[in-house]
Amino acid sequence: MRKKNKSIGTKVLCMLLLAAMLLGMSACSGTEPTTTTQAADSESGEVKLAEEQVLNLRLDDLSLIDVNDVRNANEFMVLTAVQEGLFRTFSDENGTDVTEYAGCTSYDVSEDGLTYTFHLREESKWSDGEPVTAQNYVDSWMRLIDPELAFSYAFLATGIQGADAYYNGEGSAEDVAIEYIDDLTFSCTLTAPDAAFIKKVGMVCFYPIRKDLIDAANASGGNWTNDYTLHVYNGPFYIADRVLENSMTLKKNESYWNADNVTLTQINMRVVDESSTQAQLMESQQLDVLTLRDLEYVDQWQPLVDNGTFVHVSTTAPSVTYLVVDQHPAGEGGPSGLMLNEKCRLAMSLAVDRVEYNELFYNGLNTVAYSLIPYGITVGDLDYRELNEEPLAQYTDKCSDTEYLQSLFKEGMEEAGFTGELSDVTLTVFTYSPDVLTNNILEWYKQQFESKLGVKVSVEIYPDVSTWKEARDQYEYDFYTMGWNGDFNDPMTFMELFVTGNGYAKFMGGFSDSEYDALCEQAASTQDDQERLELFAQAEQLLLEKGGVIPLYFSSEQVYYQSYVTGLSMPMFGAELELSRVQILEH
Amino acid sequence: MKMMIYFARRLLIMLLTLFIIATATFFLLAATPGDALSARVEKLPDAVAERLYAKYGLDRPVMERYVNTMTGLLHGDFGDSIIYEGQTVQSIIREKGPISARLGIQQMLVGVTAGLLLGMLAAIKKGTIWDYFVVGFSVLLISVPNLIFALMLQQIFAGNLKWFPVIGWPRENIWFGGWEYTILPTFAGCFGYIASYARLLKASMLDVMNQDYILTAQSKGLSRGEVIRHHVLRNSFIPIVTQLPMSIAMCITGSFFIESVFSIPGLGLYYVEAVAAQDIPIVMGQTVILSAIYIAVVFLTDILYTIVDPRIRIAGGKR
Repeated sequence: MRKKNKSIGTKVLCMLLLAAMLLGMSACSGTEPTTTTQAADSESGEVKLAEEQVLNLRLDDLSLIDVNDVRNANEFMVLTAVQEGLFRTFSDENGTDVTEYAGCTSYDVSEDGLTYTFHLREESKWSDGEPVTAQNYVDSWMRLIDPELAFSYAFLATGIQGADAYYNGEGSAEDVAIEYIDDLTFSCTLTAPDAAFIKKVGMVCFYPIRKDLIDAANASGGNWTNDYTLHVYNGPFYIADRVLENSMTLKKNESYWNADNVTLTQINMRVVDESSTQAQLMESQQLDVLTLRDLEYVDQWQPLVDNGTFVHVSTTAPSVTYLVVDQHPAGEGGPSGLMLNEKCRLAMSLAVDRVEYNELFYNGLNTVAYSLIPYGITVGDLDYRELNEEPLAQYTDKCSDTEYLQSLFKEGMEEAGFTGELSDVTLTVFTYSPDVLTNNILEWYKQQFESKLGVKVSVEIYPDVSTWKEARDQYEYDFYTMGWNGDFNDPMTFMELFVTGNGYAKFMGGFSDSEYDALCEQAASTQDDQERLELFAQAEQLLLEKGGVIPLYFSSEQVYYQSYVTGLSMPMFGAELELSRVQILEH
Repeated sequence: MKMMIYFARRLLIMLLTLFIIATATFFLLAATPGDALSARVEKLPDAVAERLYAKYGLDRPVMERYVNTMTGLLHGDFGDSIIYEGQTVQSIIREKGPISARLGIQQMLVGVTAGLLLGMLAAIKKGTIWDYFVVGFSVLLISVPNLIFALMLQQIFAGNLKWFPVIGWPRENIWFGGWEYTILPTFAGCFGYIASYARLLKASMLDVMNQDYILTAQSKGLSRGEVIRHHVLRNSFIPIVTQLPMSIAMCITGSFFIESVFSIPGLGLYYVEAVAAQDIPIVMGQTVILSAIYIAVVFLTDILYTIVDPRIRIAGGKR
């Protein structure tokens, strides 16, 4: 799940809507500043910094502080602040992700695109004075794919030769192609070229570790996973204090190689669950940054944004929510028997009024989706969405054209060998969440499809997630709401979900198309960015025009921060908030 | 001797109760759909997921897990938290118990004192506007959830008037430091005590006032004040004294809402989170430990009865 924090109610809602994002996905948010009421420009030289360089944040307590086992957005944020890997990702003034060298100063890729060699930064040190070495990285990567430890993000490394077999318990550690060369150099070799690999290895789960300390902690019965006193840090800050489920204090790490450019001396983080309490704290400047859970404050705080007290940023998350349609051959087209037909699926996809959906249920604060790949995703340095129009956008006029939609659906019925009328068809949608929003949304689907396609829709609510899963695995649905949060900045993180035989196929409707598979495979092995971009565009168009999935919206987050906070980065991938360059202005 | 047998029997019953509680908790948790790992394994290859289940012993049949859990309980080993790796129930209670206990005790002291005063007022001024006020006030306090009080107090006294911090809890000197943090949560949580103790004392006092010996005292020519001080109050405190230990025992469990609103690192919040996350070792451990404390207090209360009320004797004792 993308975010752990939230009141219990919101948690339930989040679970339902984005049930697929059940594991620690990388934190989100490419930024799109809606207001630029910054109090001062940090470049101008006239900046007066506050005497106390302390930042106050809200915290969702971490499940653990083990980089290899990172799971949730909160862990990404804290671990990025206190540790450092090969790269560090910031966002520029346009909100685009900018990745900079951090733990390494350069890397080489062999001509066949298989072997990556990393050259580490000589000045990098741990907080106990030890240098950060290539061995620390090698230990970390090997630990990431250790079958005994079963870390959630191991799959990001399984493209390395021998890694998949080792992780699945079929091979040995010696056969994994991760190689220590000297203290400042290590390399790894992939089984097949993967243009997105370099974007993966910057993630927290690939950060270096101190195996000596882990072994010592394990030997003495210490709790390395969660006891911060057993850790050393190579990032801009270190963990100075922690109270479980309550608070955490970070302080500046003076032994960080770039400590001269870190201004903050302390970061206070507190667990505050109630949204009204969060608001109180923001209004009284006891909290400096807040991602809103309760959207009623968007209107309430507009005057504070207008008068320059707060800065409001609407960030786009690398997250898409869609309807999954049952295309598993074993499901025989779902209860309606029609979902294997692409015309029926496309008619459904075109019938959904995404703008109304966004307005009704999300105050219009999300971005409507006419495609699968969210805004801000890049191929190399090319902005994917900027260069490719959303494939379904050209059909928006069909949304209210019931005659067209019904004839399209009818054609599909005939192709599928159905002789009855539209009104004889019943589509089944199901959920396990009892909350009001979810149920309103399901009712809305019902009304959309019944009024536009002339079919009937049956809404089924399961008492709990287990019985729901069972029903899902028995294909007792035609469609349901699902979502995905991208793991790394490449269209592949979304596209691969719909490749035949993908591990997530059972949650994603099981779309299967040989042409699509071929395009994705080609895109994975091609090194040329422009070519990859075009391959992805073709594949995406094919997927959507065959109704393989019905995109609904791309999520946005409403982030507010005090105008005296500057230098805050909100990259789409990496840490939700990148804190190393934050400064507090005089106020 | 009879006393010894009585104690032995009570002890046995206590252990049996604890056993039943542990068993019931275990099977209720086992019957709950899903588990602490289901969210995590959804994305993992099957072989890896299996290993994860094996790591926490969740792949074993229910009865085997039951036997393992109960054997662990006997040795005071509840197992590690599944959600917060490396944490045990003991470490969590050691860290968070005192915080909840301080808050609980403060709430109780304020609440019980205020409740007793109001109860007295209502009993003495029975049938007057004061009486109705106390009754009405109690009904109001008991009907409004303390979450509402907590949010209201926070809004008014921390948000608008800025007299107290919005959230927080003393980090050092956890028993006596940082009183300014504790005031709002104390008040937010004391209303339940006020209401129940006011009603309890009022009912008890009225009961005593109708006794013949009060009439006797009055007919001896004692003033109303003396009758109330020496005869009524003393006797009407019996139910209070026996109720108090229960309240004390409940102090340590903490309050989910108040701890959540004021961001207090206590047990209540943690317990609810553990239940929601199906962190079985933690839920089992906390339930058993808290039940044990509660059961022990009930036992002490029974003994206390015999001390404060000479009319009650342990079974078989002479009247």
